[in-house]
Amino acid sequence: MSRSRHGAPLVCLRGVGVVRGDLTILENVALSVHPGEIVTVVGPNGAGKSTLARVAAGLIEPDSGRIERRKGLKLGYVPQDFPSQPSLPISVRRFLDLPCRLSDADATRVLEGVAALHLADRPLAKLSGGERQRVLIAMALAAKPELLILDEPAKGLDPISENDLYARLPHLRDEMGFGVLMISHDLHVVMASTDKVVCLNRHICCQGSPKDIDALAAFPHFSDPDSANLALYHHRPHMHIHDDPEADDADLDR
Amino acid sequence: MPTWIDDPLFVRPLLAGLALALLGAPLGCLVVWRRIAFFGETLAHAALPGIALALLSGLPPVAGAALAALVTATLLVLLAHDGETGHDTVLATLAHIGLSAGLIVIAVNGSIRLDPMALLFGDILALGDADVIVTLIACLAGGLLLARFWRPLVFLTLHRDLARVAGLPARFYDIAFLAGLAAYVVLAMKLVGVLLVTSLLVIPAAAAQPFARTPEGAAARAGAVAGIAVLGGLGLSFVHDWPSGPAIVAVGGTIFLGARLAAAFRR
Repeated sequence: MSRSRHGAPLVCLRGVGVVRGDLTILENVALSVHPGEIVTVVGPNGAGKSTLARVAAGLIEPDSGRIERRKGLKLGYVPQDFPSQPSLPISVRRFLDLPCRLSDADATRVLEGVAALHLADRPLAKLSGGERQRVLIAMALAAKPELLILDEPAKGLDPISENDLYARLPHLRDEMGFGVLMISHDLHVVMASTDKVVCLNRHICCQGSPKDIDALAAFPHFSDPDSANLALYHHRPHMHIHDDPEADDADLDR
Repeated sequence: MPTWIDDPLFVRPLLAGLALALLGAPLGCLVVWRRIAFFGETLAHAALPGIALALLSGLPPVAGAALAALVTATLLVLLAHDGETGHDTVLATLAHIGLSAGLIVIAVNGSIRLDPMALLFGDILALGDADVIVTLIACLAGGLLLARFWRPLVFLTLHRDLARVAGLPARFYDIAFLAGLAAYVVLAMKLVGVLLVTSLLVIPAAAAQPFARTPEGAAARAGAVAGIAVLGGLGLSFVHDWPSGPAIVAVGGTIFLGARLAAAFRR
């Protein structure tokens, strides 16, 4: 964890709130991702995880609070859904060219990286959900991002591919040096590849190292595995782990 | 060789029609991919009160149509993004408001001299040399702009969020695209009329879709279909005195039906 504290954060959310009508989607969320750090946000359905990812990606302006991005930050974003456009004919290879033209060597490299080289000439509209997910990850990596935002990146992947993706992520991080903000609904799958876990249920319930969060989940009254994940998201002030957002900020300002 | 081939009354609309067909093909592909086929319809209907009011105040009808299209496109951008009302609902509502307003303005002002048939279905004889030159220049400029904006527009059509994260200013391209579409509708209105102007965009693009493997391939095939529709339609119009708009649509529609049926049977 010490290595991830070097340098200014790539992105820093301070007291971010998002409101839609009379519905509060996010409330006073403080979060930062540093270079080389993998931060995973977990939470139940409707917790505002995707909204948080979209705020961090600059797709939504927060209604309150601030978001600071490092100047000229190169961003890779893997969205949760990809509305299929069956009428727009385009191959996977050409799709990768849309953000900026890739050399064939680069395209081959990023597709190989997600085990999707065989999909290069296939029409994008004909891919399965899992295949499309790989292509989206390839596109995000092709941008050589400094910050990678993954919104449920394993959606549609089979369990083997899912494990493979999470196992590969820290290596990619070491290789390319990016920071990662990842959304997941399942803490246990991502534990091994995460530096910091943030439990979100509209506000941040707790955050800490995967070990700390897992310890919380292992409290005697959380021993039922089904309730363990959910119980974390209820607001329990006494459970806050050391990573107080204000302290975090003070840490950064130095 | 029949004499009408080099008759200026045939050549003028043919030149304008082919230029509009070639520009309409890629534009129409984007319209079909974005599922906003009804948008052109709305613009054209909304142009009706603009044309009527322009005639009332002594302005050129094109200016009135352009102004009405601009207002409509702005309203659409503002209304369609509130997330509460569906895109198609906003479009249908604006189209009917436009059509009604136009008919009311025409009805209460008996002094406006308008040939409703020419306005609704196009009038090739009304195309003068100046119209043709303006159309050719505008289509050339539109084509160059579209070529420049093509890749970002395709990206935004495929996945808006990914395109925005990649740094594309989505709002700018939205407005530019809708403004271009509005300009196209105003240009093409004289050839095919207010009621049929969308067909020049949608039918060729729809006919070409099943056979294309790339976005550019789809645009090129749509261009070929549109060119044949304009050539055949104007020929029929000139020889058999068919109204030009419906004749172009009839030829394009036949190709569309044939292509789609062929694609359905091939499956």
